[in-house]
Amino acid sequence: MWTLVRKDLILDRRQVALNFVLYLVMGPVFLSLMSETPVKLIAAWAAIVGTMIPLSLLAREDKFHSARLTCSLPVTRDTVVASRFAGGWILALSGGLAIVAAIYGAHQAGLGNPVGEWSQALLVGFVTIGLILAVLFPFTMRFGFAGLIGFLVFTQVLGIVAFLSVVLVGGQGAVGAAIGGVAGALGALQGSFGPVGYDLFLLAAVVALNVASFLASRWIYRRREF
Amino acid sequence: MSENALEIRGLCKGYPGFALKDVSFAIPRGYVMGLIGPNGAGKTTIVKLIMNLVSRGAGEVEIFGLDSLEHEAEVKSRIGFVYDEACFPLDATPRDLGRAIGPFYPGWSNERYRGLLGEFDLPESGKLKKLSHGMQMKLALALALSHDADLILMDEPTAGLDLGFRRELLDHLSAILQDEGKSVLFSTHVTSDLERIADFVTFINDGELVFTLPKDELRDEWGIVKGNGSLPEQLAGLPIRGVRRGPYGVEALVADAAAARERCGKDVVVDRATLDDVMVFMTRGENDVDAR
Repeated sequence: MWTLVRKDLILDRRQVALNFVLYLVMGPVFLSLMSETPVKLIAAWAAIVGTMIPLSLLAREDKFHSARLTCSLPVTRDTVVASRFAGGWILALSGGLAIVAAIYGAHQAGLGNPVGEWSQALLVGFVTIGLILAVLFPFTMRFGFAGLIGFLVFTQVLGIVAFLSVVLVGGQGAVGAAIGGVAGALGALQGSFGPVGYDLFLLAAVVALNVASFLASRWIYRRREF
Repeated sequence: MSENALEIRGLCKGYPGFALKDVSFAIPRGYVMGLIGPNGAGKTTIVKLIMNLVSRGAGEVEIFGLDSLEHEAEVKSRIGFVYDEACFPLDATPRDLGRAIGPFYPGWSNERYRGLLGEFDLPESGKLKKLSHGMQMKLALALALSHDADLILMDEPTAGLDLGFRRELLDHLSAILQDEGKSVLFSTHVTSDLERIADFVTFINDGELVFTLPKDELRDEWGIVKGNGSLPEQLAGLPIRGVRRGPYGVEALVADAAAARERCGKDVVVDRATLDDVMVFMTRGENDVDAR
């Protein structure tokens, strides 16, 4: 598995380096644009941007048809999927942490005004990365970069449907109830578990979601044809 | 220990509008097999099935006696695979590819890889996008030959190459193969590529196996018989594989040229059949004649 991760890092290193340089510049710019920035927001943003690194490599794979190269190597499809998860997490976490570090450094140099506890921000970042990767990986395993685009289009369509339901048929009650329901459930969990228990619950949920996503991705990738 | 480098039994695969039907053949260790057939016959599908790049409908693939699905990583480590088109990141260099791919193979030799790059006039540090299609195919061949693979699989490696480049690539290949006694499956629709290097020929048409034979048997026993309009009747009972009618007479591909010569005497001309002839007669001729 690590040989595959190493292969991807060697062959995609220019793209990865370019992303890192771009993000290290973007972080302080993001900070300078806001007067008071909650660190949780910074972490969520950094996590989203960080996950774009492994996801952007999918576009290269589609462009160069290099999945055929990977699947002709002496490895099983399951190992390929495991390497995608491992490499994806490593790149997303290091990308997100690099952005947070750049923002922190910029703040130490007198730029912007982040507010909140950084330890909480790390949890938010970890959970955000975990959610994005767990949801997107099965799509990308089946459809490559087109799967990512397809998912994003689907969420856009979902947003438009929600918007139209509010505007045309007065569905704000239903949309509001759905969002309120999720927020209420999370609040109830926080109340019953306590702050530490709730954090542990979130971490466990993200891990469980990623395990489920990994198993689904494996099932899907075993059937993919090149 | 299996005597065959590759053995395929009852391989099937369905696509909308095309099906590979019950294909079986074997390559003995140390021999070169040409897999021929017109475009769309199913050659690439067979190669992809061997490499598990597509899922099987039915059938078995054994490589050195091991099932290619059950022992996927193990058998692939013994295969050198040359694709019909390069599938490398074009901003990488040959050196990057060697560093990235070498560690997957226990038998990988950097020295050999560098040697082959030099032999093929490939720059170690030039980006792949600056290489022509032919150079990229040479690179794929260098990668396939650098880990001491026992079985080389090549899917249309000469497609799209000009004659000079093709000959150069084949010269390199045949020199290497003669020296090292590798087993090879060489899929191509350019049959002249195989005249020099193949020991066996397997012919696929429309997803079905037409024949799998030693090339010498084709060369020595098969022939093109040229005669007049009554030729099919003259050859009745002989193994006719295809008939073509033209403005100057009739030609028939027969699997027993000596018998045809004996039967028809001076009434006909009998020429040796090339692989091109075989493919043309069996795909475009009237090949539903008797005595198949």
